[in-house]
Amino acid sequence: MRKLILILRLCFLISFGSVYSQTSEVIVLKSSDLEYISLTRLSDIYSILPQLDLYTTDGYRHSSLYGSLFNNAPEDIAILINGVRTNFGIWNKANLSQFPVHPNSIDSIVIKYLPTIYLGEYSSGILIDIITKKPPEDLSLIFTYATGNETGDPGPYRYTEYFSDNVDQFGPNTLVTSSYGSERFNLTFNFIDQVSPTTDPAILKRVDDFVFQNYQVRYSGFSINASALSGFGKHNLFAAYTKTGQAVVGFEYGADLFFIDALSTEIPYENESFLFSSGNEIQIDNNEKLNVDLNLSYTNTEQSKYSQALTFNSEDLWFNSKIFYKYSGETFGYDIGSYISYQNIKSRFLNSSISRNIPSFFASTNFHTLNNLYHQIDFTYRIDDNSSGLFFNIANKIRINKTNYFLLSFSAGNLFNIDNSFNHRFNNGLTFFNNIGHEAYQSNIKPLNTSLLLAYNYKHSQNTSFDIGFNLISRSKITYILRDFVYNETGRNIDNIQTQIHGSVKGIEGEYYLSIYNRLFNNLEQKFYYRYKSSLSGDEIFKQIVARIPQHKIFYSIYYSPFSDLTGSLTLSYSSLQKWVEYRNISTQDGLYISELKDNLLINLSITKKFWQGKIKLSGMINNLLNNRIQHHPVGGTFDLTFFLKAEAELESVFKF
Amino acid sequence: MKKILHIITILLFVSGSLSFSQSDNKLIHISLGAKNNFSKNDFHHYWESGIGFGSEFRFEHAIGELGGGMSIMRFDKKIDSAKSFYGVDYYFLYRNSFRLVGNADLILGFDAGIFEFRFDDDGDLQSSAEKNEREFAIKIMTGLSYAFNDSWKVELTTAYNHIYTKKKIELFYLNLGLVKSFSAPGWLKDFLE
Repeated sequence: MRKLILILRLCFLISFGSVYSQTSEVIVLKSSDLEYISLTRLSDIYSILPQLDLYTTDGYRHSSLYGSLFNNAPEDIAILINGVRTNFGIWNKANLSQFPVHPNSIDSIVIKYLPTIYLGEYSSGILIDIITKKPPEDLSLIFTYATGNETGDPGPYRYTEYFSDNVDQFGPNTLVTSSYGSERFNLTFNFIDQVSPTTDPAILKRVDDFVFQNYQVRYSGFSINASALSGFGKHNLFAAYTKTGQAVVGFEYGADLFFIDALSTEIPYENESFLFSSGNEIQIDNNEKLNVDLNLSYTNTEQSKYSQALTFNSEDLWFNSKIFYKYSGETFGYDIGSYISYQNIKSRFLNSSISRNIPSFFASTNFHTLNNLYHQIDFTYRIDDNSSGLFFNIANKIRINKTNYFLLSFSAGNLFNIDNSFNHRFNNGLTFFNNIGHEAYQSNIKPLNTSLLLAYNYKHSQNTSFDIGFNLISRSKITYILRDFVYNETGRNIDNIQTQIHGSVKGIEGEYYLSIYNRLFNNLEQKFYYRYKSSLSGDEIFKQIVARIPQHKIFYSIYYSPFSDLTGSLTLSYSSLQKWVEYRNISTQDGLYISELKDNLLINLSITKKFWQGKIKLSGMINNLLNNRIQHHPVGGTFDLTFFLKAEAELESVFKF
Repeated sequence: MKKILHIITILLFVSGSLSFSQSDNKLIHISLGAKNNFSKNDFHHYWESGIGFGSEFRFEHAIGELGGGMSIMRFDKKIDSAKSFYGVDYYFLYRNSFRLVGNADLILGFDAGIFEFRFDDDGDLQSSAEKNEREFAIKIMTGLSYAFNDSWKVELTTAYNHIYTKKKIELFYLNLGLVKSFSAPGWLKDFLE
């Protein structure tokens, strides 16, 4: 064992002299991570999260690859703020780009990407918890303006035989934040206005029937984030209003787009959402706490006013309440609680509605059996649409010494994210998407997942650590709907020419990862991540559908701040070949649609110069520095070299009360 | 090869910071200059360039000189179907200089910004959107400067300009400029740091 540790130490010293970064249990992005890569919108964090398997068709909306991998097991993205669920998103997809919080007001972002119970919240997909900063004392202001330009415009050749269409311009994205901070009460107000392009040829090739007013998506969002300390404990409130379609500022219209995986096309829509999330932590005594969370969201979504081909309306109302008791002792702790979700979906056009109550119960305990042996057991049980599901996780941490520990974790369950997809609506009689050819499919068989994780962490010092891990995921009882998408040149749309239903699909996925973190100097930080993932055994169809996950992923980032007024980052991301079995016959002559996404290397660069002691920041970012073909979906857009410019004014404590 | 050159330039920019220190007396440089495009390639079958003019604002930083600049150059069409235009280049810049001999310095630099094509309106443009095109562009430059007194110097440089249009545009320039240097007033020094 000592030899093994010695070899591992040598390996790391030779490579970087490195260690810690992110474990498979949890990823925490700090505010400095966000500052170094200079976000223009929140979803830019995905560029430094190689652990997540995501796809995007337009660079603006991202979905979990697992979200559509096994059709009857929803595993998409859930967004929380300060530990409280928000239900932010349209139907079953959440667009992090549109979450109305200024990146500078974020303290950290917690990301869980394996099935987990996090503060009583169950997630089978990707869980993102945005933890906000305590604002500076008194009144502060932040103003941010960012814009970007993808290369490949015709330039002066537009008036020659080399004519080509203009390509995407990003933004402008405008963010305004004002905050008030004091010892016991803090208040932050955010306003976000975004423009996102819909001009990628791959998208326009299949949605020609829809009219995209101004070829852009317009989005505006307001939010208020308040926190207070009372005699009982801590209280947080997040309330937001978001709108797509008609901009709040200006007169231009730009429908938002929703990519329907089952149809492989976008529908243009406009929507309004109201969110209200409140988290309350009541301190009973030094060891005991009671948490009471409430969340209400209302979303009204309907067709773009310029779209003639569709008529739909969907009003979604969610109400969630969570209560849990937590005891934390020196060697023993537990929490126990319950969750009740209520959903009502209404369609004005159909003059009907459906509603459901989804109660769940959760409990966890942690204890030591030896000084260096720590155990945690989590359990949750949920009743949804008259069917029930459960999930449990047993994690054991063995601390060898101050620098080495092992983790062995086992989880199993037949519980997935709450189904909020089109299928759920169809299966309950809300058939307002009939006119675009959506087929409903219902399976009452619940898939079963088990997972075994073995991880090792070596922490050489505060500045250097590394993680290595093996993860086995066994999936069974999957019902998989295999489609065969082809591009119809005449109709200028994507057709599914054949549907095959595979029942009782089973298989095992295996994963190996290595993560290294090193802070070489106070002003230079680097991270390395490698992951191998593949199907190890199972049915042929299982292997084919898992092939859309890249087998190899390599990521390297360097953050460097040579002077207090100058910062920069360089990130390199490599993904190997991805094969999408549903798109095996999609390839088109113009090369826009391809059935296999070739391996690709993406290099992003960001440089920020601060002025006036950091009150003003000017950032230049270049995405895809090598101008490689970057495509994340067989029918998605390609992302060429893009230049972003961001200007920011951050005035702290400008007015004292 | 060009990709490697781009990366080397960026690494030079990043690594250069390890070898310079901050100066208490922050110098500001303002330059005015003229430039000529001397390359011949596909682009020049369609357009012929005139003399261009530009100006730069630069300030001293521990890693070299940082700043911004703008230049304008006329491009006249050589075939009827093309359109004449003014090329307006807005960019951020980085410069570093190394003493060669006496008052002569070797200059190395890198620019990144937007190149705007402002087309002549011959009455055939349908909308104002057709009058302009913008594209990301970079420049790599090198040359010589000679200081003929404490605050004035002359620069003779050559630059390679890559404009990332779909059909890429590559231009080489020869620039001649006059540079005035002065100490930044206190408020400007505070602002720049």
